[in-house]
Amino acid sequence: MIKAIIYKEWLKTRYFVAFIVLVGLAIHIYSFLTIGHSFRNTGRAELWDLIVNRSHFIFPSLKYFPLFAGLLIGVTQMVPEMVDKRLKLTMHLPVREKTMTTYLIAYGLILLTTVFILFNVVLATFLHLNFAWEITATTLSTTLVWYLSGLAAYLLSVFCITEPTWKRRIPNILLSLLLLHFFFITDYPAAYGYFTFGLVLLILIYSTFIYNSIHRFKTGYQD
Amino acid sequence: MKIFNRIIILIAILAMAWGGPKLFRLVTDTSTRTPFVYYSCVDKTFCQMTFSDSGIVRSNKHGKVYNESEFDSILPMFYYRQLLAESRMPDTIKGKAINMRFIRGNSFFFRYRPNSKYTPSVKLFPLFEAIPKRLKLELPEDVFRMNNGIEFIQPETNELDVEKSKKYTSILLKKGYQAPARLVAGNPSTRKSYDNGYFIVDKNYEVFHLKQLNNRPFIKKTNIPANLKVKHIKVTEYASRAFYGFLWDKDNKMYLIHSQDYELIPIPTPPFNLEQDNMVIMANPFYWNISVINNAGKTCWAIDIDKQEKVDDITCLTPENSKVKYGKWIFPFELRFLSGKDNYVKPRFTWNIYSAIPFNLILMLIFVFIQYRRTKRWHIEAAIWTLFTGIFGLIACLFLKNKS
Amino acid sequence: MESVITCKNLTHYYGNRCIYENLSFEVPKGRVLGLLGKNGTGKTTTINILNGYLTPRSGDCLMFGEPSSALSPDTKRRIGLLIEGHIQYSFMNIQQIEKFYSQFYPNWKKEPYYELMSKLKIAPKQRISRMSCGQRSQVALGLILAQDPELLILDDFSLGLDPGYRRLFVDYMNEYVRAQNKTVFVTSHIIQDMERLIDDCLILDYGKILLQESITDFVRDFKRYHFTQQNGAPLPQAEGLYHPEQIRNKVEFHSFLQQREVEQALQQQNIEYANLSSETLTLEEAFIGLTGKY
Repeated sequence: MIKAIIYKEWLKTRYFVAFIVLVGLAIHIYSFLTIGHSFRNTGRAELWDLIVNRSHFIFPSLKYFPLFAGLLIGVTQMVPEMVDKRLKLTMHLPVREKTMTTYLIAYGLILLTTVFILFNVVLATFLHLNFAWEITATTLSTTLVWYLSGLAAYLLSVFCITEPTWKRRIPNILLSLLLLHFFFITDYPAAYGYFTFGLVLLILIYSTFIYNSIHRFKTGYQD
Repeated sequence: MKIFNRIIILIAILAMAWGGPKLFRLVTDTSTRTPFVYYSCVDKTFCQMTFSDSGIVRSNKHGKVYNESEFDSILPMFYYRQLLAESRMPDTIKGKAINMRFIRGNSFFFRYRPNSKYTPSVKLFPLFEAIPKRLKLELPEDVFRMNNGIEFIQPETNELDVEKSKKYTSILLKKGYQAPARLVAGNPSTRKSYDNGYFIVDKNYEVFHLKQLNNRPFIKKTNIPANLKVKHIKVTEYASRAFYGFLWDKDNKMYLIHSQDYELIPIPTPPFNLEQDNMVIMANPFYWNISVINNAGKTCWAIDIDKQEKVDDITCLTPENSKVKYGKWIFPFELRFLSGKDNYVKPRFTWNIYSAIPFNLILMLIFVFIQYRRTKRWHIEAAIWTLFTGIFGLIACLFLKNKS
Repeated sequence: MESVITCKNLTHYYGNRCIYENLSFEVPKGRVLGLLGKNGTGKTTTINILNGYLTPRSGDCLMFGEPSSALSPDTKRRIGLLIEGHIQYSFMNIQQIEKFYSQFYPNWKKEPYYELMSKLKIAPKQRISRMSCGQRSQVALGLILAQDPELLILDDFSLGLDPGYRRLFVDYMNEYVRAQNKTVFVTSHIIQDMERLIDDCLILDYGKILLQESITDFVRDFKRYHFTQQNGAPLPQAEGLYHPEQIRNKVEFHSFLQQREVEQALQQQNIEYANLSSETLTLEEAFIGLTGKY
């Protein structure tokens, strides 16, 4: 049964997953080339100095990629469910409402996490080969916040899309924009520090939002 | 299912507690310039320059008003270039002959901001050649990290310089260093004329001095007492070379690290907290102007260098912005993630619970009666949210609460 | 007889607008019930309540004895659902969708599904979204046949279908439910189609049930009467005489009453008439006769 649900979600999202992987690879390759260019033209020692002593961040183009990926998966997974109220079919499948909802978001979260881990492995490998572990750690802790923003974007987009009425969807969207902003408070590298755990907690909280939307859909809220 | 809706309302309240006051300040905030103050070695009192809409007012602490050129001449140590250019500089002050070199060689400007200490940083440090062969300092080809000893890493290959690491580590350990390092303080910049190296505070609060001299390690255990539990050190490289920098102990007491034998000289300062306050020192050959600046305002002490004691002080309070202060009547609390005091993102709440109660109560009553007239039902839950979380709870309930 | 659907005192409002109050009905096992009503009388509302996609303001709706708003997976498995417009997962093709649904139903029967699909002129990998409305209705139908549920809820199955597909759908459904003794709850805006399919009808008017009985009885008992008006007599206004209408001097109305009872009613009102005659009606005509044209 779970296999069937994964199958359905996969059919909806597969081309977009491929698209995300391609875009992600392109961004990473571009960033690696840029850094290689700086190595040759500015010098490695100078680039290290910029990172260590001037708080320079070398992967700025990664910033909104996870956000975009999360949003895209949220949209491609849930919009087909909401067009013609197809979610009714999904909710009529012989699975409990909350269980089904959990499967749906678990699919998106696991999928995104897998893709994100993949990219982090690529990034970590590159960093490990070229920089001291201190720089690797700072860089990864900065990008970690961005990757978490991708999960948040997914959960919040799903929360807004599955809401049955526009009258409520608009406040939901405004709230979601505020909540996403929590992940982009500053560009200072590694500034989130231990609060990264707070962000993880926020994501856990955001993941409960969809149950409210689905419940409203199921109960037939008109406003 | 109600629980999920309540979670959303709660999170929305948090989000508004962040966004609401931010927006409010954006609309009402006006910046106020703190006055410039400087101790006059002529008037023997503080002089100040205040900025307001009506213009700049120059006066001394006792209310005597000066025009611009008078102001220049009573602060010769600050406006010396202007005075020298106009040939108005006195030949001697306090019995000392005055010239450009003398003033420059004995003046410095020092600034401390909490966010320079409380900031995420990459713990890698370039070790400069202390006395470079050429005039300009050059970025070394390696950086070091502190672990059980010292490790030098070469960016060019991203590999350890094993030999150099061993050499430095063995000396450091011989001098009694015990990992981990609590503080590695240096001034990693090439924009200075020489390098004082690093001060390293080890596990036992012993302070070590690390430099590279003629390509060889220079490592000394200083006699700075461990019971000071050094909290912070700022290494300086000023023209006079009289001292290595400043040091603060566990009680935020400030000292100067003298170049001779690391002798600590206590510096009298206004009450100061490393975590909260900015400090500015404007030093001239006769007096140090030490200002401590925080939200409340600015306090400046003038220290006579010869006597090493305070000769005068002045305090300028920041006027409260009348519109901004209404915020605490409207918003029962505020959430911020940033602070000017550090570079970390973390939740920081400001509570105005009591001052906001009247406004909350009014909001709640208006809301309850309007809703009752509309729906003939008492909306108890929304009323409770509004009573405790004020305008945030009201907005959240109006737009995000499920009807029962 | 055991009822599959039991609705008691359903009351629902949209905002302040009352859809109906205290609506009660039952659907016994093995019967095919058609829900008829003009637009806006609450057909879709009722279907949504039955499926659990709407919680009524008050009242209970039980499906196989369980409240419809919280059906257990086992009960959902016993109910086949056709959503208005034959909505299905249109991003799948016919094999994918069969593979998907088969995982949820232990008694899945794929043969009738593929039999039906073999008659469609579609490419093997063609996505449902690229199919015509009629083809989509066959996919939806095939999936219900494969699920083989005990209760079928069909919401406006004729929507968007041309006459051929409508007939095909009805014929298939008819044969299937009769042979397997299925219970069906169906709505459609084309009453002609229903006539061939349903045993009982439930006719909704604004805010209430007008009628619930077998269509054989309804079509047999409910007649249209005509008479020729004499001396400008007024239109008859009696209980049991529905929607009197006058065209020149011909008066027409509908009633469950026998001709003798109609005559009595007219005489009681002192209406002078001539040539009173009656005719039997099709379900559609009877429906219009009962509910009025407006």
